Amino acid sequence: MPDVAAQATMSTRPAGAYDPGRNRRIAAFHWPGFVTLLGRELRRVRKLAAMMVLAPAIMAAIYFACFALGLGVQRGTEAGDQVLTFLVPGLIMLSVLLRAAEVNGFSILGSKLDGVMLDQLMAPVGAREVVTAYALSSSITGVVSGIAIWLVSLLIWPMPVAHPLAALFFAGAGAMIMGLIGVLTGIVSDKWDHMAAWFTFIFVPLTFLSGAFAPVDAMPSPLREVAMASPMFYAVDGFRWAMLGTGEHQPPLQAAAILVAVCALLWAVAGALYARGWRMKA
Amino acid sequence: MVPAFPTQPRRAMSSHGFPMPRRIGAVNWIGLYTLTRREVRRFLKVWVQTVAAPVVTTLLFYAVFALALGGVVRTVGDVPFLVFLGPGLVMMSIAQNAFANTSSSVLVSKVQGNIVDVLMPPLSPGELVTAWVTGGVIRGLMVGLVTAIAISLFVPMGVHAPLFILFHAVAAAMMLSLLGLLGGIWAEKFDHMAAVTNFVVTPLAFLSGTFYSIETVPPLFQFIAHLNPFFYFIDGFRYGFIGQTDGTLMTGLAVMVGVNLALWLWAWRLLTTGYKLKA
Repeated sequence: MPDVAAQATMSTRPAGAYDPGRNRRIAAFHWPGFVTLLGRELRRVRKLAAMMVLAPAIMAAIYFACFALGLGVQRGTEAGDQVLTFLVPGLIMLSVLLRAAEVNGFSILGSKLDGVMLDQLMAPVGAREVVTAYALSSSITGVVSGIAIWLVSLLIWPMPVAHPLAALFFAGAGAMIMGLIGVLTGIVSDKWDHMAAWFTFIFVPLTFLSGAFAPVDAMPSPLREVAMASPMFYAVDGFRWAMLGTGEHQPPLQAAAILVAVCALLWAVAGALYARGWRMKA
Repeated sequence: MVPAFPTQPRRAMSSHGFPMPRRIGAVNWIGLYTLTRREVRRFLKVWVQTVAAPVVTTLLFYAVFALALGGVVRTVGDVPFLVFLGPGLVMMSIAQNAFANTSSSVLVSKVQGNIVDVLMPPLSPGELVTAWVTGGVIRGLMVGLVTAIAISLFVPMGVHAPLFILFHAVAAAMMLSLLGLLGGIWAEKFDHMAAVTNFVVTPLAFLSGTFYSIETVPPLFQFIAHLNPFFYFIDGFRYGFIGQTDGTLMTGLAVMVGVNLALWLWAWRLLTTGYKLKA
């Protein structure tokens, strides 16, 4: 019985007890911590699937119906069809961006208010793993909710996707930006009221007016400049190009570069704030 | 001489010098007033979330629909699209906020356990319904008024029949307050309420002819709209502004009165039996 003998000589400690011989050196990037947090976030989203996937899909269908019926006598004409074709990518990105921001903001603020944020701050997981896990989970959530709406759109207004990989990139990058903004919002907010105010007065208007429903060019002057200054505009614009194949406002590569740069910047800011424990550690 | 408690009404004294219990007439006016005031102060305390936020959201919808459809759809009937859109959006904000006020008040009280503070005092079911619904109606009308003022800064809203406007605003706010009350009594968790809002109230509100004239839509949607009570109050309210109607106004008035009466009796019945409120 070599196994039993080996165990007896190795250790009599209970499982999980401190073992000085075990290598506890943590690499530059703590993969187990990252994977654990990512798993928790994704399981959380799965539990909220009705709110994160089903409700947005129904809402998108309702928006679509309102616009289609609102066309009145123009429905079925070329001008009317253009409005609806323009609308579909916008509706997908609307949910992608907002769900991504919500999932992280609610998760962080909820953890803060419940006091379980402590478990995360105490664990040997640094800011870079935590912020990366949040960014990735929001990106996945956003893309999944976008896919749900795209599937619904296939039933109502089918059209081919011109550049599927580019569409995935723009949806994922836009979701990641909003997810990181959601992290910042969760860190800044102390109450649900604060979070709700950020969404109602800043994020939802910016997303709605970032070319989701209507061309930015059609907007009056101050609105247009504000919309074009927001990263959401580049995500929506790039995604629409990827889906329709035409009609981009910005060269897609330039839009992609802007998204990556904004993503990196927000990742650094969120990481720095999380590392300092601003509004989380006393 | 200054009385010790100037705000207290004079109480009858027993022969032993103790105050007798307050005699309550057919209506407990003090209780009714107190609960109504609590309902109003409850939402005014967080007015940024309960009044300002819905106004911003409604203006956002106005902007989005104006930008997306304004270029293609010039007029609905004889009315410019933007003028057509305004009243419907005002009515949608009245309806959604009236619903939100009663449903959240009852559900939050249930979840927190302080619903007993409303059920224990000498308030009859009729007084409870009246007070809750009045709170919801006041919030709905307040949000609607601010929204209407905000919209009229961009697109002037003419008034065609002021009594129609008033009747439909109050009747719709009352209907949605009663629905919110019923929802709040039925729901046990916030998830239940979110489901009612997402899958019932929002679809009914959006597919009711706010954004389009029923006359131009396919027969199936026309049929659905005529089954939807939201259609009647949006149409009647809009008629009060633009003088153009999709349905028959008298049917609308009858539907509003009938539905309100039925919902009122239902809510009153639930509070009498204590369904999901008293163990």
